[in-house]
Amino acid sequence: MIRRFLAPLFLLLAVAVVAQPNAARAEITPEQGMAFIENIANKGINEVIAADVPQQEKTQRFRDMFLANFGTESTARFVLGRHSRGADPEQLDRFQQLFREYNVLIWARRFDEYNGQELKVTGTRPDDDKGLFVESQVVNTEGGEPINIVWRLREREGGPKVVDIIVEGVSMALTYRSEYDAIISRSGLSGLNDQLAQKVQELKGG
Amino acid sequence: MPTTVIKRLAACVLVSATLTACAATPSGNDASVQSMRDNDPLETYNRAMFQVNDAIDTVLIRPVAWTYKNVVPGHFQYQIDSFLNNLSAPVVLANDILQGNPDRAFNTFMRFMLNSTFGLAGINDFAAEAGFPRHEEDFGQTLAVWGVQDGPYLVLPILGPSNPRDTVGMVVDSFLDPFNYLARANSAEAFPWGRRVASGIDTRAELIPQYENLKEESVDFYATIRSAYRQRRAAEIDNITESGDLPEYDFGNGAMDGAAFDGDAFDAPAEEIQEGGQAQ
Repeated sequence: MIRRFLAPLFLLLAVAVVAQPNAARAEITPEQGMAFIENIANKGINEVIAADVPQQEKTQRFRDMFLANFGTESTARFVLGRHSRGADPEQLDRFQQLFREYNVLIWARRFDEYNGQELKVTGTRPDDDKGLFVESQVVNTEGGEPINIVWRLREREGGPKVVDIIVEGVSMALTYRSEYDAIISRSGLSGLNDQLAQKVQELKGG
Repeated sequence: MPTTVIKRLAACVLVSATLTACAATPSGNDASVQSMRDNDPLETYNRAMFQVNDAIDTVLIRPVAWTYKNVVPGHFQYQIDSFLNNLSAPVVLANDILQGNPDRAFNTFMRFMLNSTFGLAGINDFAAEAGFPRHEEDFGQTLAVWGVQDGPYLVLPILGPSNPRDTVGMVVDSFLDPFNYLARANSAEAFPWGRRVASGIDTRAELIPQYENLKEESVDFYATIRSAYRQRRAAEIDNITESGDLPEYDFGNGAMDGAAFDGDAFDAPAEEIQEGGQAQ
């Protein structure tokens, strides 16, 4: 009796297990991933960083580009880690927005540091069956050692999205996660949100 | 004798670190659980030392590094950087060998030979152009390759982020360095210190403006540096740029996201910390 009741459940489970990898499998081919990152780099340099427009316009252009190409929702969820479970949906929502804006603003501050560097995509590696790593190097035109940057891609909303950037072995997502974990443990997600909101204000003012 | 001073300093740091670690036995409250997860049982001391270091950096180190970076012509900076790197080649070579990596050892050997001669005593990185790119190794990394765990996070006075393994490594490196012995034999006792200060300024100058940016931007600068230091060390130990191994962690997919974090490889270190805690 119980077995008969459970059988369909097992079948459902089996289907789910078999179907899951297929559903989750990244459809991003190495060529597609490399072209995607090359496109981001070219557009980023020509239309944003080195474009001859005021800083405010640059920031806006960057914001559009960032929202279109980065899977910030996935990153934000990863960054919160265990704290995202059972958290107040309103605070989660607030965090998503603040995290996105915070990232836009800190990148925007760095445009001035641009000094003719070039980004060279050097290869790809599968990220299990979940996505793709695109490897690249930032080459300084004045010499000096190249900086290794790895982009972690996931298929989201029907296209590749960047979910993490790993600079010389340091993952941005993991660093945020570790930083925020300390704050949330002390003062909760709402405490973190308040501090992030303050940072965003400071960055806007500066 | 400079080395005696270093030894004593390191011994003090290690002893006080161990003592404090023993004193800070987890009492089960949230703060100590958090410290265990971060492998940072000395967090209170570490944060205080971090503040002190940051203050010293603001009033002394950064101004000197800034002046160096903005006043000294770029070409000389390159030569000084190359010269200091070439001086560290014997220690890098020793660690390449101790890690059982003949390819890297050969690379370092060739670099030292080429740069000391054609590179005019190291002021030009001739070897890099000849196809022998630079890499770093130190005894802390060698210990890691031999299987020694890093131990709890430790902020050293002035020297900054470290851990017991890397602190021991730093002391061993100073003993491995033939130039230190040469200097002592020639009564040039100030040389190792001058060189250390120069390396410090050189490195600090390279971090302008990244350090300042990070400091302004991060919500918890201490936790950011702690995480970045560990990730960077792990990458250096794995010689990441060659092997290409990346930390494993899961971004999850769709509805599975919440569950994916439970199996996350980065929650694993908490167990190691507990083991380390028991060992003390």
